[in-house]
Amino acid sequence: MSEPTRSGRVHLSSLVRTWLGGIVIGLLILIAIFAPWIAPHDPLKQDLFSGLMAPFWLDNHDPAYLLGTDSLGRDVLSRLIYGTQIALVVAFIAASLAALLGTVLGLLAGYYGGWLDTVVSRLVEIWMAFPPVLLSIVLVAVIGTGLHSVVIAIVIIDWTRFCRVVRAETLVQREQEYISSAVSIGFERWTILWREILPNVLPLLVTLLTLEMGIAVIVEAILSFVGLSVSSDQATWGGLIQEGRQYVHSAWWVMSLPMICIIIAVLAFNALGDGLRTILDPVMRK
Amino acid sequence: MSFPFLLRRLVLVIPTLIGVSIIVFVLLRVVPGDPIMMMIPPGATEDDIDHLRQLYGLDKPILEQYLVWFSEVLKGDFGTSISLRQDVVELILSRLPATIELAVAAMFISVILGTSLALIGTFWSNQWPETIVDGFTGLNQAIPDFLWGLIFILAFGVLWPLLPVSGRIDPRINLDLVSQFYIVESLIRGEFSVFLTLIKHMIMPAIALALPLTAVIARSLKASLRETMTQDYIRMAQVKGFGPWRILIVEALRNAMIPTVALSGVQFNFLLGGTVLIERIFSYPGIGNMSIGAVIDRDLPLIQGLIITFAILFIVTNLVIDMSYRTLNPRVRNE
Amino acid sequence: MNAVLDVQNLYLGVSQKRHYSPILNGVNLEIQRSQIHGLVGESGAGKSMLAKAILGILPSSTTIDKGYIHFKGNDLVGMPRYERRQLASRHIAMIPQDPMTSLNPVRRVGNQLGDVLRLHMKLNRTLAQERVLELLNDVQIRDPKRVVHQYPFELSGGMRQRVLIAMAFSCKPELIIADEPTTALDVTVQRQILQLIKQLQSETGTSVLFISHDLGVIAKICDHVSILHTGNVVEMQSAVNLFQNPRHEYTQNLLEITSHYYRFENTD
Ligand SMILES: Nc1ncnc2c1ncn2[C@@H]1O[C@H](COP(=O)(O)OP(=O)(O)OP(=O)(O)O)[C@@H](O)[C@H]1O
Ligand SMILES: [Mg+2]
Repeated sequence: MSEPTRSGRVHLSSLVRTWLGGIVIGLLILIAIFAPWIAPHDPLKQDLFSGLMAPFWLDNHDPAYLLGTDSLGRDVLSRLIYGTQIALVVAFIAASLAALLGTVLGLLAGYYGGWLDTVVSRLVEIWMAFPPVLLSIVLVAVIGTGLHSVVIAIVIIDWTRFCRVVRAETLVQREQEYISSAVSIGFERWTILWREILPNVLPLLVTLLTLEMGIAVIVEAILSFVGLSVSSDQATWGGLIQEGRQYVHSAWWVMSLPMICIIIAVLAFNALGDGLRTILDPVMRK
Repeated sequence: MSFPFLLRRLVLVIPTLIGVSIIVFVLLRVVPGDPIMMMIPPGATEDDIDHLRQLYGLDKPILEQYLVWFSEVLKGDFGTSISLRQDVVELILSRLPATIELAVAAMFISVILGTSLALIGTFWSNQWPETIVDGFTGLNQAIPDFLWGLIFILAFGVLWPLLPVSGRIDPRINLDLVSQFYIVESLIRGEFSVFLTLIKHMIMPAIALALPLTAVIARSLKASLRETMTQDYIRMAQVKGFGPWRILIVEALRNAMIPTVALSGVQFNFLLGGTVLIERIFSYPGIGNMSIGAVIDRDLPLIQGLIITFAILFIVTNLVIDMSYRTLNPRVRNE
Repeated sequence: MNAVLDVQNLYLGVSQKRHYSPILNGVNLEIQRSQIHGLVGESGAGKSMLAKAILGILPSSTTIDKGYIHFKGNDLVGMPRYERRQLASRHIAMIPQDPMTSLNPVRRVGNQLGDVLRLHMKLNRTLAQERVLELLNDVQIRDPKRVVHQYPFELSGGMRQRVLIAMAFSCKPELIIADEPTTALDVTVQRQILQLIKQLQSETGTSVLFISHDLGVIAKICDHVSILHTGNVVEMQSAVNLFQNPRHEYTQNLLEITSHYYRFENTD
């Protein structure tokens, strides 16, 4: 960013990307909310006589099923639309809870230091040694399948992402002079945490949170893919991928379409997160 | 690279490993759901259950259970797999080489490819090659390894059948290799046809595993290369008349690699963790694939053994990364 | 013709966000063979820009709009990039302002010197290694055998500047550009470094363009001096004449301001 011409360009394009990401996510939210009205079919209604229909741009398609059907004759488009619900619910709830847990622990560890910091840092270090995918699968297997266990698994695994960053940032902020001046005025410690440090880590936190939502979408898809997410008769993107994989040789599109949905959703979260980082950072740091 | 340094690092690893073992133990014993209930066959009587409970020491206090289990673990005994009825350590050791070969190949690919992309993006910065590199890294942040695996299967297994999509080797080939390190051994023995089929089986899962890390390396290395290229010693090298590629590779790259290496520790863990799904998708017989099987079968001893194996792998790779960081950076080398 | 380098009517400017600002407005500068030529001017006058233009390392935002830089029968401004690099890098060397950042931190000192010798003097590895030891000896580095295996961070600022001076003189260049080579060093070291440059210059007969705003330093080592002011060389004289008989008003002011310091410098 040393050359002014370049930083100008970066700023503009990050603004564009933020808007793009935001708009796509907004659309996904609308789709999730209005799923019952948008979806042309009941996502669970089977029609064994019209299984594995092709999407509209291929031969052998049925205009009633715009994106074709799966092996049980369920409408793929409707399943994708309803899959948005699960993906977004998991993304928002799991990412927020992971952010909450990680931030609280990171703030406390960074601000109070001492044994609390030692314990938290050690925990983070131990956590890093676990392969995240395996841990999530084991967790869900142990807790039992269902939406809540997916959320719990993501929170338990990914709180460290927030904790590490927030702790490091808190350490930096604590060193800065204005904190010590605030101490001398005689604020309560937690007030200082709340008023002085949190606003400073907020831009970073917002970015991380947005990126984590993308990660949560992927983890949910992985768990559905392994068959450990929500119950198998609910429509999820990962579940549809798993189904599609079984007959990928005869109907490749069933697997591809949910994959495209996941990629678009994650790209949108990433674009929003990266954009927010460049926009919020210099402003908030001033 | 001094010996005391290595020793000190190894000592530091011990608390982490103990922590990992405690969490693994607690996770699988304390959470709701009695582990015995996971194991029993349908129709077992109360007596059978009590017997099993005693057999696995589950009637004792939790701390005692842990100490008993951990002392066995220290002796290298993880117990017997419930579903496969074999020694856990033996089972893992028989599958581990396949995973190590896959992970090492993926790490190798991601380092080479990521570095090349960063160099290309820097050399032609603000021109179309940099745009392509940026697009690639951006896209890769949204496509996790298992989606890449499925995309490859779709592209090169189904739509344009070019490569085998499952297993580690063609089952028709009769192997007379003594170790499980097929690739290494076939190379050493000069059996190139075997080597070739092994590579053909490995190339898709390895690249799928490698791509996310490739993007991380390309992105971070390009950023630090850009920064490095503004340094005074680069200006000096230009004045001295060295060619632009030489300056990029000999003068800038090594300096720029230092921060990238420092951050790659965590990333290697994602790669290792990625083997779980990738091996499943490509039916590749390694410990990742075995892990999902173990979870589905509720095979507690095997799951415990596998998680600890992954943790040890992670710790070892981090040790290697730490050592290469010290080799790269002369300032910390002799501390 | 006895000039090593002849800059004629050089115009140079920088554009930022479509806004163009001129830096040099028709600079003329002629450096004679085997002489130390001083270039003096206030901060921001464009001294470093002129040096960078000669060395061919101008930042991408700057452009040369007009003029010539004649060197060995070629015009460096109009030359194709590759040929220019071949010619200039072989015969024009540089002593940088900041020795702390001008050596590659992860490469051994000996290799950095040796690479230059192998590139330009076509020496093989062993010969280059021997020559490096001689060069370090020439710049009065004690224990060169140890220093070649060290990394820059293990050397003091003065030592690093000696290494860089050795590098500058290593390929027997026709011209060395020294852009404030002592400002980053502490005072006692400054004097030694100046002496070293002067001594090596007179031994080798290389020409030096010596940039500084310190008239005291200029008076000590320069044969000729050019004064750069508002993007132009307003005065060029032999050092002796300049200090006794400044012609341009700006030079007179400059001498006035620094005269106290200058006299003090000369009496010790
Ligand atoms: N990279 C750059 N981009 C744009 N303008 C620059 C750049 N570097 C220098 N300038 C401008 O060019 C002018 C000349 O700078 P230069 O560095 O040549 O001055 P100088 O005479 O060497 O000063 P000093 O004695 O402080 O080194 C200054 O006005 C400066 O603001
Ligand atoms: Mg300057």
